[in-house]
Parts: sequence; C-alpha cells; structure tokens
Amino acid sequence: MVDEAVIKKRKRLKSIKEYLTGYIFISPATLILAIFVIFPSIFVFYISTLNWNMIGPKHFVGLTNYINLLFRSPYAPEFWHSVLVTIEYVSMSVPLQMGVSLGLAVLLMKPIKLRGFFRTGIFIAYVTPLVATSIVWMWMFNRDYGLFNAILKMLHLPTSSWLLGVPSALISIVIYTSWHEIGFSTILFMAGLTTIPKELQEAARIDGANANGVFWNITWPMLSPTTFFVLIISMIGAFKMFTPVFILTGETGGPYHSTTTTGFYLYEYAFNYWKAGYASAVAVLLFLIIFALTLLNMKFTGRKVFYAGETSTGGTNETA
Amino acid sequence: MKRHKKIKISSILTYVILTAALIFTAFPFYWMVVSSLNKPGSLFAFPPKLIPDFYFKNYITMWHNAPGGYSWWRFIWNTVFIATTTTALSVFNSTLAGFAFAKIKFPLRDKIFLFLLGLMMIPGEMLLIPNYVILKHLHWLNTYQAMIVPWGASVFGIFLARQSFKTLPNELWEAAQVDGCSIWRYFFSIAVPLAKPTLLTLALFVFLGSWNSFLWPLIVARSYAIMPLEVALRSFIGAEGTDWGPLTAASTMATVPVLIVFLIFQQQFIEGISKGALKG
Repeated sequence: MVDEAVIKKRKRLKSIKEYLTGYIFISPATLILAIFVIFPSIFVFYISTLNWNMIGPKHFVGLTNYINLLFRSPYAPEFWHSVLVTIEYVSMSVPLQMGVSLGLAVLLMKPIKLRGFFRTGIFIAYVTPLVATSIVWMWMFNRDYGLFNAILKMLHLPTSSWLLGVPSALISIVIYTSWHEIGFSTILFMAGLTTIPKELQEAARIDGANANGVFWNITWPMLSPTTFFVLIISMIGAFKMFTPVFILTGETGGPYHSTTTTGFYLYEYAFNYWKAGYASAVAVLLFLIIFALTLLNMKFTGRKVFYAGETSTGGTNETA
Repeated sequence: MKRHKKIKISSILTYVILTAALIFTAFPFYWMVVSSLNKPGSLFAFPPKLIPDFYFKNYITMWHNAPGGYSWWRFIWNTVFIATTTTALSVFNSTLAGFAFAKIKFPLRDKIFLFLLGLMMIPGEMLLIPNYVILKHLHWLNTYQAMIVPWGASVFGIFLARQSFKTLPNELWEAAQVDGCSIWRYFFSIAVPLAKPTLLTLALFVFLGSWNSFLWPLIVARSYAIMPLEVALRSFIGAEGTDWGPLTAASTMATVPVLIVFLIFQQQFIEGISKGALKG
C-alpha cells in the first residue's frame, strides 16, 4: 500500500519535472516572439489611433487616421494611388513570373542533360542581395549609356527612359523583381510537379493523349494547389515590396510617385515624415489585405504554413 | 521515323528555352563583373564592350571611398557578425522549442504551438513602427542587438525543427532514460545530431535572410560604425552617383561571396524551399 503511494508521488513529481522542462525549452523562442511579434502586433493598433511623431507627446485621435486614409484629401488619394500602383505591379509581374516559371519548371522536370546546371543557373539570382544586384540593373537601365538602350539602338528600335519615365519605371521594377524571383517560383512549381503521380500521365499517354493534352487535362488541374500558393505569395510579396523601389527609383518613390507601392508608402510616412499614427493605420490596412489573401489561400489549398519562405523583395528578414 | 524527329525537335527546343532563361538570369552577373573591370572610356562605348579591359583601378577607387570614412572591412565585419549571431541564436532557440513541441509533454503544448504558427500570418511590415518604438524604449536603436535579437527566433524554424524531431522514434528516448540519460543530454547528444540536415537548412535560410536584409537595418542602424554591407552600399550609391566602374566593383564585391556560399550549399537551399512549400 505504502509502495503504491510512493510510486504515484514519484510519477507525479516526474511529470511535473517534465512540464517544467517543456516550458524551459520553449521559453527563449516564445519570449522573443512575445516581445517582437505578439506585443507589437497589438501595439500597432494602439499607435494607429494616435497623432504621434514617435518623440513628442501622443495625441489620441480615435479613428481619424483611418478616416483620413480612406476618405479625406490629401491622404486618401495618395493611399489609393499606392494601392493602384501595387495592383498595376501585380497585374504585370504575377502573370509574367508565373507563366515563365511554370514553363521552366515543366522543362526542368524532363530527363534532360545538365538538368542540375540549368536549375542552379535559373535559381541563383534569388539568393543574391537586393541592393548589390540593383546596382548593375541601374547601370543596365541607364538612359544614356545603359546596355538595354544600346541594344535597342543597335536594333534600330526606339529607346526608353527606363527608370526615369512613366510608366517605364514601374515596368523596369517588374523586370528586376522578375529576374530576382523567377528561380524561387520555378523551384516551387518543380516541387509541386513531383507530387503528381507519373502513372497518371503515362496512362493518358497510352490512351493516345498528346503532350498538350496531358498537360492541360492532368498536370494543370493537379498542380492547382501549387499554382494558387505561388499566386498568393507573389501577391503578398507585391504588397510588401519595398527595397527595389527604394533603390532603383529613389527615395521619392519614382517619377511622379509612379512606383510608390503600398509597402513603400508605409515606409515613407513612418520614417521620412515620422507620422507614426497614420503609418500604423496604413500598416493595419496592409495587414488586412494580406490576411484576406492568406485566408483565401488556406481555404483553397488547406495549407497551414504560407509565406514562410516568402519572396525576398518583401523587405525584412525572410524567416521571421 | 517521324515520331523520332518530333522528339528531337522538342528536345532541342527545351535546350534553347532553358539556355535563354539561363542567359537572362546569369548575364547581369557577367555584366556586373565586366563593367567593374572596364576603363571609363569602355564603359560608355557604343556598341557595348563584352570583353573587359581588366582595369583594376575601379576596385582601388571603390576600396578607398567606403562610406562614412570607414573601411569596407568594417561593413563586411558588421554583416558577418550580425548574420552569424542571428543564425546561432535563431537556430538554437528554434531547435529547443521545436524539440519540446515534438517530444516533451506539457499542458497546452499543442495550443501554444498552433498559436505560434498563426503568427506567420503577421507581415513584418506591420511590426516596423511598434518595434522601432520598443527598441527606442530599450535604448537599443543604433546597436548590433537591434539587428540580432528581434530575429532570434523564427516560427518557421520551430516548425521545421518540430517536423524533424517528430520522426525520431519514442523508443529511443525510453531506452536512453533506462540508461539514466537526462533530457538535456538526450537533446544535445542524440536528438540534435540526428536532426542535423534540417538544422543546417534552417541555418542557411536564417543566415541568408540576415545577410540580405535591408529595410530593418536601414531603419535602426543610423550610424556607419554598425551598418551592415547592404545599407552601406546604399550610401555608396548616393555618394558615387554615376561612377559606374567603382559602383559595379562594389556590387561584385557584395555579390560574389553570396554566390560562392550558395554554390556550396545549393542542394540544401533548393530542398529547403521545396520542403517549406510542400509540408504545410
């Protein structure tokens, strides 16, 4: 009888010890996430109700920042302009990137020679730093001596002002970010393609379907979760995009603000004009847009993890 | 016979398209190196010169004009230091937490894990302003730790580590317990070595993310002494204006080390992305 009680007690002590160990193991990571992710994501809502320059006194203004942002001049036109620029950017870059990377992924899945070499070569730009590689692109885009205009001249075609013109500045950014990101979406598509059972495609082949038929009737529908995933993370990346705009078209957000995306607009108000309250309201709206896109993604693909390896033009550290 | 020909044409077309894509991605790197090795005259030549002059003075000019009166070594060191410590901290914390979420039983374990996973939905951009304010209150603005500690844990890392520890059989831990092994020793000398490939992938991603980060250091590192290379490069662009020789030399200097690291670890990079995309 006594023995049983002792054993019970020991067992309880042991499990309490295990509980404690568990909490100790998760505490460093949880503490950092609590201070730098959980708390600030609540704090930002509070800041968005202030008129505050981050140094002086805080003035509570309620929902004024949101009303300004959505409806009142001069803020609302600026904000909606940035949303429009982002949509323009998305509608150019997303179809381009997705089309090209899907095509490349299909080709790279074929049993070809030098497959690894091609894959590496196509992927490589993705890992390179944005500011450093932007320099050579600025040089290629240069209006007077750049490579692109030299090629156009040699072909007797009209030249472009690239980063200095409207709408060519935004198009130039699309070209640059596509160059940087295409390898990433190609790898994602390749990963998606490997999940499609080979037998299905072979069976269709035996039944007399040609390559085109196999692609559109089997590969494409089975790949749709991947396609949707790539679509959503590209759109999220576009809304967050900052660095290419900042470096390639300057700290004013391009000629006539033609490259001022929502991500850039947020930075401008926060850290050029120091309007913490207003910029936080922009951040909250940006969050709502991204949240909606993420929910869509979850609904359609059933994924619990999304932009973990997100596109790097988004700005801050990728793995946060 | 006809079918054979058709296959040949389609495979030639495959190579043609892949080569074109390869030129599109790789040529800018070539052009960066060529421009950095060209004399000013050749830089502005028409038609453009594809073979460099091997004119190394651009590198000397670049090297002597580092921003803020510092040496480039300073910025390289800053980047190496920040990226290395961030990686060590983040991988350590994520591994500990990932192990606990996979193998240790404690109340609310799975609820806490799900909650942390939900944090991935929060875009970093939303946190810029509040985190700036927090760092200000901590008196951490303009310090190394401002660029290290906030990135010292990653949900994605915890997720990856947990996935990897989950594959370890429970019998292993039971057997170790019978032999009188403590959970700490089990963690460090048995579990972690077995999860090495995943942890290496995670380390690579954290390292690359930190090395290439720009927006956050741009905001918190206002003095040159602690500035990482990417932010210093932006000042260099502002100062050099249109001196494309030294500019492309700086671009080469900052890009080549990353390319080398990537070529060494490319398998882990590519697998890491595929894993992150598929396992969700």
